[in-house]
Amino acid sequence: MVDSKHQWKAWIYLLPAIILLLIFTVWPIINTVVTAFIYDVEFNLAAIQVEETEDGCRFYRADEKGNKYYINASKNDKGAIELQYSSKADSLFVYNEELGVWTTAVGEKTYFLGADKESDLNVIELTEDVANKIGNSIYPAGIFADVPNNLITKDFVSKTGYKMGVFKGLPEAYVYVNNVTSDGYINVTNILDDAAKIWPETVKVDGVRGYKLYVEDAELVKHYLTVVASDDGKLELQYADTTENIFIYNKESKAWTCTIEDAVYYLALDSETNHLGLFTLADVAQEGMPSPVTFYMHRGTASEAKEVSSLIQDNAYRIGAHRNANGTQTYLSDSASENAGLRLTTSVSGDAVSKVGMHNFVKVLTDEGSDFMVCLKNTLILTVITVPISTILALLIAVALNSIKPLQKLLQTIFFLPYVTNSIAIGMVFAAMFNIVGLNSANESVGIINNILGVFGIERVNWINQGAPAWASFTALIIYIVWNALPFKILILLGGLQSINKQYYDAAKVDGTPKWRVLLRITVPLLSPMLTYTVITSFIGGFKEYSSVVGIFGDGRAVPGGANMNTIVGHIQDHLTITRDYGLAGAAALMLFAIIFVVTMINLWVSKKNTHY
Amino acid sequence: MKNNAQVKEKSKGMQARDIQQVATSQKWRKVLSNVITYTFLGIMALIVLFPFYFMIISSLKSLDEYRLPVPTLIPQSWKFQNYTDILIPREWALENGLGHLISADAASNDFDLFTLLRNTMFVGIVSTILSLVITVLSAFAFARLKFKGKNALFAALLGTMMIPGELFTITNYATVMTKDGWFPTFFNNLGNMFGLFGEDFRIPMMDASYAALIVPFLVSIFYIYLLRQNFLQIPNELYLAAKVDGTSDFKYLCKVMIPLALPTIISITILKMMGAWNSYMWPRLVANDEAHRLITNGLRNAFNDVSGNTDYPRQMAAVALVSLPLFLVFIFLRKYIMKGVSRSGIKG
Repeated sequence: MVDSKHQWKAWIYLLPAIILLLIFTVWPIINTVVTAFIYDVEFNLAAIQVEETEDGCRFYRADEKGNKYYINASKNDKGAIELQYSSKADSLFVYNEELGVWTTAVGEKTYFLGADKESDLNVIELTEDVANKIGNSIYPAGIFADVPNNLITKDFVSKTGYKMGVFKGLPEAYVYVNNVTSDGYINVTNILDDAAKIWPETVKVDGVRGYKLYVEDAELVKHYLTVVASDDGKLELQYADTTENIFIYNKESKAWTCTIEDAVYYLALDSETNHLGLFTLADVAQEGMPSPVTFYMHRGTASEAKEVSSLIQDNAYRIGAHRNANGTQTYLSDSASENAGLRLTTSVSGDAVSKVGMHNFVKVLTDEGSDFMVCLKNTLILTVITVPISTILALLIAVALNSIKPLQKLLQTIFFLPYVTNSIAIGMVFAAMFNIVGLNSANESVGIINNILGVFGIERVNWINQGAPAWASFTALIIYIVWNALPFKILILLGGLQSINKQYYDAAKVDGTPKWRVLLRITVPLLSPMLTYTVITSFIGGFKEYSSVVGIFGDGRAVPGGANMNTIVGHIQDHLTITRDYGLAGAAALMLFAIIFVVTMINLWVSKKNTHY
Repeated sequence: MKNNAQVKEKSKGMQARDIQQVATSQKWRKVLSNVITYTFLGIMALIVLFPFYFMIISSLKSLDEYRLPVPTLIPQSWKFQNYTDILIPREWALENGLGHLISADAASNDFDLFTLLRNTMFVGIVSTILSLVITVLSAFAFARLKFKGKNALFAALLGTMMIPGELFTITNYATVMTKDGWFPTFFNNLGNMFGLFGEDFRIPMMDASYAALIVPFLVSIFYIYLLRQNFLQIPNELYLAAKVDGTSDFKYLCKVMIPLALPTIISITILKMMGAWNSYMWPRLVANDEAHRLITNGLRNAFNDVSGNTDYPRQMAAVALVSLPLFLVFIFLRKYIMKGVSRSGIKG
């Protein structure tokens, strides 16, 4: 039957689809499964170790067996000086305190460790010309040696923390606001100058009509940025236990501003004192004025937190330069084989030694900084609560709709309306409805939902604002998800109801069967194929919940000072954008697939037992 | 006999009375159940509509009125300025001496509606057209043409529908984001056509970021399935007759199949366009810069808390404006949307 002569013509029709499917569907499936099981040994952050001698230091890494591989500056095949690993200890590195660089001598010439254009760590010849550029276009590598004395790992992991820094131009380098000095001033330290001995502190924000800026110390006491008038009437910034000062970001001048007695000031680094200072906003664009301070939204991540804590535990050393726009550190990665070039990379590295195993899964599940379990719990809570509620409500509405004649079309249209909305956009409407403006202030506006509840004598609830209790945040989210899920189910169930033979109902009427019995004994069984379909699709949809969370809680997917509302899909996204570890993302995605698969199978199994066709 | 007839008559009378009684009680019961049904539906309809109502009234309030401790249900003064602030580009207004049309405090308005709209329309239209071409061709091959392994291939394609999209996202993200990878290189080169037309020439809006938004989602197995089912319903005799006439497959597809399956194709078009309008996750990953951002991402990022001063009325006005096209499409093409949705269960 098959006309074999013209068979190839069919493939021409299918060609575009097949090519695209191979690239964007088949290959991703294979690749994701493979990457999920491959992990980089680079993870072992017992990283660079230092051997101190009287004349200087030697840097080396050790493999599992304890073999040492020294970092040496030596000639490569082409005659250029490069950094290489070797089992022999050749190069001695000396810290030049004046320039803040680690130097080593090869032959007559002096070289220093730095990051060159390709973001490789390498040796750069130390000439006078180069010395002037250090810190401008050439970045020396810092050694992360000392345990940071005011490091707060917990804050660093915290999702809503901000880093405060001064932008220093390209290539990207930041100066971070740092620890509190004994006289209460705010020190600003260039992370490059000081070889990152002190980790940038997290500056947190709160408030609704602007932000109160604060840092937390080791005892989790908040120190607020406060404007203080000094004796000579000059305005200064200091840390204080409480503050009335609210800072607002002025998008036009790209500056953080503060209004004091009707005058607007912006935050910038005072070059005279090296303290954070206030300058009149009107002068911001004028020459000679310091550039405004920026806050970098920084969602500290699992892997970064891990890096920091293992830094403390192992007292290991890492060589790295800080140059990424996102504020991520780049480190020397592990390529412990001999004669391999050293590269500066972020955590994922093509050069790293890879192994096959379940490590990524274990890491996603058990890693201290990984919020997968929280996401799983959130997703489960949302699914288990929203699926029954929305299904039962949809069923009742569909049955009611089916039993009426006048207004049926109109009501049907109304109930379908939420479907044709943008779930992010309407999520923002729900957020506005639940939002409290001016939380805990004298002229607090509690929002429309609280007002409606107030009519029934229910006290106002902090649903989604700063420090909202978890149950309230979840309630708000659940209400939105149910609202959003209703239209599709009503549509499907109503379609099913309309195809049920009227004779069943007539028979029931003759018998005088009560309505609830008709619903349970006739409608539900006859509707069971549609019910199964909606339940299965909504379980799948529930486990993939993401945009409704973003709609209400914003891109941070967390309540400031409250619950982490992230979901599994959000967790996978974070691995793509923040940790940039596709192996972890793949592991999480495979687990999501497994969960969905199992739940769907259970659903099918249960429905097979109860479905009447 | 007489007695019997009397009894019969009596019972007849009783029956009639009983029936009447039952009928009245049934009538009352019917009224009661109607009241309950309509009340329930009415309340639920109000709940469903309330967010839209809230969105509209809030978008017409001034910020001070919005912040009243007890919110007003109808704006005291209708502030249409909230809409014009978004609709009239600030720069353009200032350049053309129309500065009086926009509020002074609209400075903080970072919602660049027209760029977002342009991006979204471009991505939506291009991806819909390309996707339709691919879908129609593939559906036709699966429905009418004969080739070896057709059923196996079709089953394999349907099988991939079970896998959640997140699994593809990871590798696709790597594919389109690796700066020197083949994907960006190819599309950037396509964009400036290898310098053939001089340095400055670029195919309008064609670069790797737009390609990243469009290309990975061109093939939808579900749409192919939907259209194939529709094609199968078209009688085979038409095809055979066309073959006898010497009509080519492609001509037959264009002249007969597509017009007959137009309702399904319209459904697919609408759902695909709605998908582009509503997409958030993928654009957030691959095109989160000002030049390429799509409308949903722009909306979520605008008026937000970074300023610490959420301008709710204007935010709600923007939400209303973003929702409006969807409502218009819904009003005019309700039939196609509901038909498509009831068979798909997916948004876009």
